[in-house]
Amino acid sequence: MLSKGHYFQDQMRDEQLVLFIRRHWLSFLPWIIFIGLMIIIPIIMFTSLRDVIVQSFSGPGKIYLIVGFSSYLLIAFAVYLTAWISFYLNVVIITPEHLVDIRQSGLFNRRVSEQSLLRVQDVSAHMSGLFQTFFNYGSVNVETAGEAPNFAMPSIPNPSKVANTILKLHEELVQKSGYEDADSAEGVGLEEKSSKNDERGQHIFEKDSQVTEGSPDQYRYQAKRGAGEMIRGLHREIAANTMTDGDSWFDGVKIEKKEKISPTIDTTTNEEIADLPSKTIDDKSMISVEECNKKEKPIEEIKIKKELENVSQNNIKKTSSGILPVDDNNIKEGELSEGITVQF
Amino acid sequence: MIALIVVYIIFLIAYSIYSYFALYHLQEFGHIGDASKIVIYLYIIASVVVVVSTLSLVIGSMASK
Repeated sequence: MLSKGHYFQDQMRDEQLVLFIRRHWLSFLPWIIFIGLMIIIPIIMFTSLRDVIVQSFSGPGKIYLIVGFSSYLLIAFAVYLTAWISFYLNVVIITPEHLVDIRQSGLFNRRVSEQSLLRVQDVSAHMSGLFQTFFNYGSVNVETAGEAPNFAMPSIPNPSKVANTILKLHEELVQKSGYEDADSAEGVGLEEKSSKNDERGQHIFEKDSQVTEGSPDQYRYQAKRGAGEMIRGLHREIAANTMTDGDSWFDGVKIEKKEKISPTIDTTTNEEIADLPSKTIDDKSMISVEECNKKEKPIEEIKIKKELENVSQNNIKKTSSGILPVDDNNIKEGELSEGITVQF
Repeated sequence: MIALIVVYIIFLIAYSIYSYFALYHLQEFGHIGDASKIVIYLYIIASVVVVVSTLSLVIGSMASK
């Protein structure tokens, strides 16, 4: 049993309950009648046909009658308990942020659906028939944005009131979350807003990350979109300082073309390298810092020059991909920027 | 007669297992303050009364022979 104040697994600590709805008792009425008949019919039969039954089950037959009736009662109890569980554990919970539908069908079929009220698009209440109209119960259907499944809540009391409450909470949440400019909760659509600024995406990412603590996939979708926007922003920043030779190296990010830098470290062939345990880099085969400083170079290029400056000339290590500078004090193996092409 | 008792005991074992799962659901998924605990107690009491009554009647009938 959940602790006091907690009604579903992913409920946040400070999340209060707005509505806790069970199905109307009239929806359990068929089961009440059925179980009632199961118990009443044998009693009526026994009282009306007492003489016949006593004669038929006299002697050793009496034990059969006792055991049979006992088994019958126990089965009726079990059927009643199962039906009651199916009725009683069917719950709809509405919080200021979530809509939770818990469906229990029998003992081994339980489904818990959570939905953010941000994703609500349309809510409708429906009552049909004499009983539903007279006892004021019916179904509420909640249509949600995107691929998330719609919510259908059958046989709940005061359906119009519940529908109004859901809509009101949705509007409050939309205002609170700052999505007023959005068409609906679906307006988390960051694709259009991404051009405005990246802080927006980061804001949504941080906000939705709180929502996603242990929550199901539909919330992760929002956080994913927010995270995607933040990652795009980071990639833009990285791309601005990185040398590439293509138009685009990340989906959706266009960066300016920059001249590819391919410094030649050594002109020695692979075969010659294989014969040598170590080799000294010729100063002339490297890009000189002075030469680089003559014209304006990108930041990354200057960084590479500095790295190359730090290479100890007498400390070269052979690798399968070529010669990499090794100096424990300054630069370690593989530390060279990705933009460098080592040629032989 | 013994066969009947054996069948009844097997039935009681199956009934106990099923009841355990049902009551587990109520205990696990019920909410604080609702009627789950009341139903659990009522179910257990009713079942025990029926089983004990049955066994006492059966034993009484067998003893009277």
